[in-house]
Amino acid sequence: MQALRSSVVLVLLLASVLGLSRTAHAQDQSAAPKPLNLTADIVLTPEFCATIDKKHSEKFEIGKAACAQLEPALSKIFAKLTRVDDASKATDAQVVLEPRFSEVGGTEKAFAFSTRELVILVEWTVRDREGKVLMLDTVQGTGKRHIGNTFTYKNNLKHIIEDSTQDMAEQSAQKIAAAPALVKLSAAPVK
Amino acid sequence: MTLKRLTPVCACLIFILAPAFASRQLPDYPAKAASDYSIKAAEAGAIVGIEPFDESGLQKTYFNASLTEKGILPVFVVLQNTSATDSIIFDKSAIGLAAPPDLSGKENRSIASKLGSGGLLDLGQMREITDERENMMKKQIRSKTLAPQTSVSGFVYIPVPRGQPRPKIRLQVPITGLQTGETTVLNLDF
Repeated sequence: MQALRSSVVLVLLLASVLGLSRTAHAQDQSAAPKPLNLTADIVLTPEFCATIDKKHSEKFEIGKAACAQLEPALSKIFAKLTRVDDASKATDAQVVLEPRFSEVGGTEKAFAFSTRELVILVEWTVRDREGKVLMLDTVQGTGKRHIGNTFTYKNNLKHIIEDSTQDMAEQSAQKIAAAPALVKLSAAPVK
Repeated sequence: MTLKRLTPVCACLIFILAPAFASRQLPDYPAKAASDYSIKAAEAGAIVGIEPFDESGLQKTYFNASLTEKGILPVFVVLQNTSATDSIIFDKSAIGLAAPPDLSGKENRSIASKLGSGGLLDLGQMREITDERENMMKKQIRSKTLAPQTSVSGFVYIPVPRGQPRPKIRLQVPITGLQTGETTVLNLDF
């Protein structure tokens, strides 16, 4: 009995000191968006991909993580998706997608095992070939992780950025695929 | 109680209570139909209604802080597309004040350095990581394409001089027709 009690205490203490790096809440498992019968260019500028949000003494390299995740997530909802690094280099795709970081926010907690949250807001502007805006919308990506201690902090920071940008990329795919103007364009006969 | 017995109890309490403190959530302010607000404007197939949060009790309930003491007036905005056929584009970055607030004086220096486009508070200029800032960010109104008969709501944060009566404010809310591309500005005085 004494041994069992000691084991429980040891596990609890270890968990609290090390700050287990697990995702606090499972991400919502939403249905895969219906693909659009459209070709698209996604404009990921070097500035966007290099975005680092500095808060207090922390740096969140959200641009790098977002650029790694957006292209694969959005390629699932278009017949063809081409990545360009400048809007002027757009191909003859039917639509051009331009993301912009709108806000980044996070919480700071005192304990290693406290769960913190990172929220990324991205504004999407989708234009047709003529440059007319078809959609302007905001997408929120959220990640939750423990802060971690001296040994786990860096790893947890990397994971919370990955979680929030992945969530943002998935939410973006859902929202763009469901945009009425894009669904209508997708259903229109090709000229 | 011996130290031996206290240790597991303390460990359990820390483990259980800490996440509870960490996940404190403030309620969202419930939106009504835009036409139900006393301050409203309608034009070009859209109606916008607003509610300034002058009362510090409301601010404490929804922001857990008295923001006006810090020179910030939260204003709840509801924009509704009343058209039966046309969509409208609402660009958050285009919303602003007709005239910039007078933020002269040492006591307003901090808030005056955080102004964004249109003279509104730019949360991006707040470099600290706090629950208060994150809560303000989550509740802020967002850019959106409004399909017919849909709406968007959220807060804008207006800088106001500290320790003085609030000046008259004119908030300008531009909207653009998706089909026409024409922009109309809705003005709200309060």
